[in-house]
Amino acid sequence: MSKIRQQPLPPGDVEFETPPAADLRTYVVFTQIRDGLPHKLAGYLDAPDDEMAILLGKEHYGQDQECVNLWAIPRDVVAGTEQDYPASDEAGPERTWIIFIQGEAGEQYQTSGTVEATSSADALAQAMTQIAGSDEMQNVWVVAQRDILSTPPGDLIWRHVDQSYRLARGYSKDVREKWERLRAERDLREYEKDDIKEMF
Amino acid sequence: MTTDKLMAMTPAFANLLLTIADDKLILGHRNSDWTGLAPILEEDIAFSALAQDDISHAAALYELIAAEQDTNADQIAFGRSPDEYRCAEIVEIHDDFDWAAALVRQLFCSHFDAQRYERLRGSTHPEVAALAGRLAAEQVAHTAHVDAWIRRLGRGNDDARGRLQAALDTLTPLACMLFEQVEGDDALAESGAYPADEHAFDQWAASISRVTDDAGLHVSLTAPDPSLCGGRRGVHSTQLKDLLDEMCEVFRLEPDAAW
Repeated sequence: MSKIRQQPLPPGDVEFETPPAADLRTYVVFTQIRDGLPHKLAGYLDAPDDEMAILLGKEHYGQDQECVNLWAIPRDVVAGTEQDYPASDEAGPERTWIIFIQGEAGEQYQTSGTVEATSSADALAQAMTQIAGSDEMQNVWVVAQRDILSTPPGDLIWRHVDQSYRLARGYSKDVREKWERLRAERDLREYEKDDIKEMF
Repeated sequence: MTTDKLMAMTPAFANLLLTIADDKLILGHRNSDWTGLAPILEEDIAFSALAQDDISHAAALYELIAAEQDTNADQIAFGRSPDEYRCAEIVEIHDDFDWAAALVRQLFCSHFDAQRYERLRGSTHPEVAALAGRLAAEQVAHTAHVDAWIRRLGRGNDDARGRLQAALDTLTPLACMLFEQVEGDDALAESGAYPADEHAFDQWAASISRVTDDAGLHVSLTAPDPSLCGGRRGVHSTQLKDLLDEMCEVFRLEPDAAW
């Protein structure tokens, strides 16, 4: 632990005007590792607004692996075959919907074509017809294309400067042993210091 | 590391690169203290990733200097005494876990670094110019990130705005010292190694003001008095020594440690 962290932190019972999580919205994040490949579900995040969702997504999921494009989608606009993502019959103008499919349980959702539809229920029904017969298919999501937030084309997400220092490989055995010895000696010195203090 | 012989680097140019690399290393080290403590989970991850990025920038610059001086990047990063570091005081001091102070420091430093990288892209030293181009592209994420935070908190409630304004007022004098003159920079400009930019300070101040104005905050920046002597010439706050004692603990125990 960093010694700096041993400094006392400010008291935790400060009263703020705004509760800490009041304005956060949940987003679903998709990343694309190379041009032409599908966007794959990377994970979820909570952010205060759309711009921050993209910025935070880039630093989190964009640094997990090579990434050329990133999408953030408000979770509540996702409609799908799972109960948690209800589809709606409410009709609007015809729009393009992006289809995401999950091949097998446990696999990540990934993009798989588009449909033109007037509601999320309509889009989902069409998507199901389009991929009917594929016995691998487990679950489907649809999202109106206009609801997808994307990093701008050519945006640099994945860093190119050597990142190998990020890899946690642990200290070598030699260093670890030396380190433990040093810590033990230091503890002993502290103990003796206290001991001497008590004598006088 | 490339085996090609790099273009010769004068000691003055190596010193100039150290000012950039040391700022990045110490800032990254300070900011990494927020890991586990940042205000929201995603910012915790993002701020930590950006701190790692700062350290990777420092490492890339140390590599170039090390190739020239027949040493290695670890030796430069961890094997010097405090007076051999060339970082500015603003990166040395602890933010005392004041998120407003952390953001304001990040604002001043990110825009300053972006500007230095742009100048360095025009260097007559081809390896340095090429590296500066890559670092400049990555630095964009740092400025965009901190600008977004400053705008939101500045437009937030009185509490958030008040904290940011207080941090701006406190850190402004130290921020201006980022522009403390670096030894030999006239000669570097003349040789084309580090092209001169007589408007550098004004442009930096304008880029900061664009964000603070937009956030409803006030900042007044003035170029430092040339007689002031600070980190660029090895004169540091006492906090740097404490920071180095901690950061260099493993290296001092085992300089050749590999992990």
